[in-house]
Amino acid sequence: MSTFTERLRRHGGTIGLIVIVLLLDVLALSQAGGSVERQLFVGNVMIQVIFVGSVGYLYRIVGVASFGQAIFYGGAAYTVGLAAPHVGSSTLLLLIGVGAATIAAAVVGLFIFRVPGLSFAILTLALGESLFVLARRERWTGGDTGLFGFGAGRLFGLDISTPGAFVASMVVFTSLGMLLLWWLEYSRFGVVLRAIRSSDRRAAALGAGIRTYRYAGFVVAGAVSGVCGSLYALLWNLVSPDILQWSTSGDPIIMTLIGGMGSIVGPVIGCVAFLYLVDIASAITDQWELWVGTILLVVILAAPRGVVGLVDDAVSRVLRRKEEAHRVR
Amino acid sequence: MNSVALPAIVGLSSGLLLFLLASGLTLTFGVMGIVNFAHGGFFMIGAYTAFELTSGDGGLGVAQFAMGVVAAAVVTAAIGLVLERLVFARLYATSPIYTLLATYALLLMAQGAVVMKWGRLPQSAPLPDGLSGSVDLGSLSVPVYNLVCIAVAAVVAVGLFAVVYRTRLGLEARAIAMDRSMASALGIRFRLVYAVLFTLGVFLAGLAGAMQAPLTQLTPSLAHAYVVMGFAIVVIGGLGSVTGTLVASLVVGVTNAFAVSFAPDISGYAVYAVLVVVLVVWPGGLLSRGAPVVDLH
Repeated sequence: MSTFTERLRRHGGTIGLIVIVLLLDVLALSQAGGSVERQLFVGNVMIQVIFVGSVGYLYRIVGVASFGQAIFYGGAAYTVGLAAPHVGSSTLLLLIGVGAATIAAAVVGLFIFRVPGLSFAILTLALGESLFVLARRERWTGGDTGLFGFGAGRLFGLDISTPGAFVASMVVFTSLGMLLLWWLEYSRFGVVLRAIRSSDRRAAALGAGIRTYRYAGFVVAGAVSGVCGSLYALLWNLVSPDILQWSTSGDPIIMTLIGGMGSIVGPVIGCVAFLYLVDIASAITDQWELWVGTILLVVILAAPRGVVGLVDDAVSRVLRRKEEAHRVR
Repeated sequence: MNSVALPAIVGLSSGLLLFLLASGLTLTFGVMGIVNFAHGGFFMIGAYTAFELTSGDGGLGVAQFAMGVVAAAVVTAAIGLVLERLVFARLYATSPIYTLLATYALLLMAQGAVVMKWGRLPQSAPLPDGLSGSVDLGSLSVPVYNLVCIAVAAVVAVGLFAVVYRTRLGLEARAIAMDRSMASALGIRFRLVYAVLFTLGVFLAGLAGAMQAPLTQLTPSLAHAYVVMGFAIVVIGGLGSVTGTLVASLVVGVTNAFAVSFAPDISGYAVYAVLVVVLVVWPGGLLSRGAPVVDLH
């Protein structure tokens, strides 16, 4: 019995991830023929789950707290917007956006080892804010309106020219993105990062290059954010300063927490839950901040391990009861 | 000469007000280890409450304005005390990332409450006639209200330093900041110290907001703008150092004022530029004395 529990624990993340990705794919396919508004919403969900997954990865596996992932997400989206008039291919646009985000992450990441954790988090927040100010102020970024009309065509051979086609194609891209996140977590790379996270001294004694791994982890998370930002620009066909706002950095952290910080599925569940929550709340009321804030506070005080933690506790309780019943007999 | 003196005075005034805001952040962070995003919400509540209390029909007297500002700070402090008992007292034992998100949730709720009561449109708080003019200092014409802010904030700042370095409460707080379990073993009731310090910090944030109100446009995004500014100052000053926070507040306030006067194109980035430069040159901040480095996990 205990071996079953152990196995469930070990593979719970993977199983949960597969189930959720399949559900998301079904959701996307079911909405691909719906109204443009719903297509845009679901397309956004399909992008955000990867973005939030990368933020969760950064916190949980790499062990770096950043309040400025909007730098890479929004920065990539703006790069796509700025490059679009000169570049015809959507695939190339995506690669340019990801390249810009990766370079930005490689520069910002240099601070990880120089400044204390909180300072780093505030630094990333401040950098994001200054990009926000820049994007609103400058003419070449389109000011408050932003940039639009990128003429998305085919991405790696898949049609993304309309929101409906985009959503259908995202079935492939989101699945691949999740596979990437899964690999980053369970590959040798992820295992070493987790070892460093739990005890950097012990990991160093075992021969892991702590700095190299953490830096690489940060850059990879930034690059994945860049993928998502570029996809966002291609989906909406526009990019406005909102994408650089602090909420772009803050919301994924909230989503991660709602879902549960402790596992790979947490951020994904939290993301879907949060986006639907805000969608419903903003349809009913103008006061979405109040409601989202209240729900968040209740989650933290009542269920600090998030939705996944609640499920985990329930499963453990059932299994323990069965085990005890077994022993009595 | 005059072109330099005026921004210096304006910068000193805004720097000291920023110190009132940021010192509360430093206290909650340095002593309790809490990264309190709700602090910007308290600033905003102070500003809006002062607006509510001072913007009536007819002329506004100086005494009425002063009472409005103090009342706004007291109201804010009362809200802070209630929240300390209801929310923060439960957070001291959890990991910093959860406290951070809980305080962020409170920030969102404060924004929501302000939107509900006053709406999203910008409001402007009035200045009484007695404080809205200018006074001539030599050949220089200085707004009276800036001088009032300098005087009041300087007195409050001195009072704060006296509390931290000259009272039993300050001694106990510093002991807790060094080693909470040892302080607790020696009979210091840290929960009580936390509650008092927290309320004090919120009072200062409310006061800063109430005094800043006539100088700025009131919008619900005020909370976020000022908490980012406050944290930037705390980081520049060296986490957890009250003196460092004072120095950093003045540097940021004066830099901002000079940027507005001489380089309006880049004035929006002044704080961030200072932050990046300081962190490149002094990674720990200006005055870090081995302050507690909270790992955000």
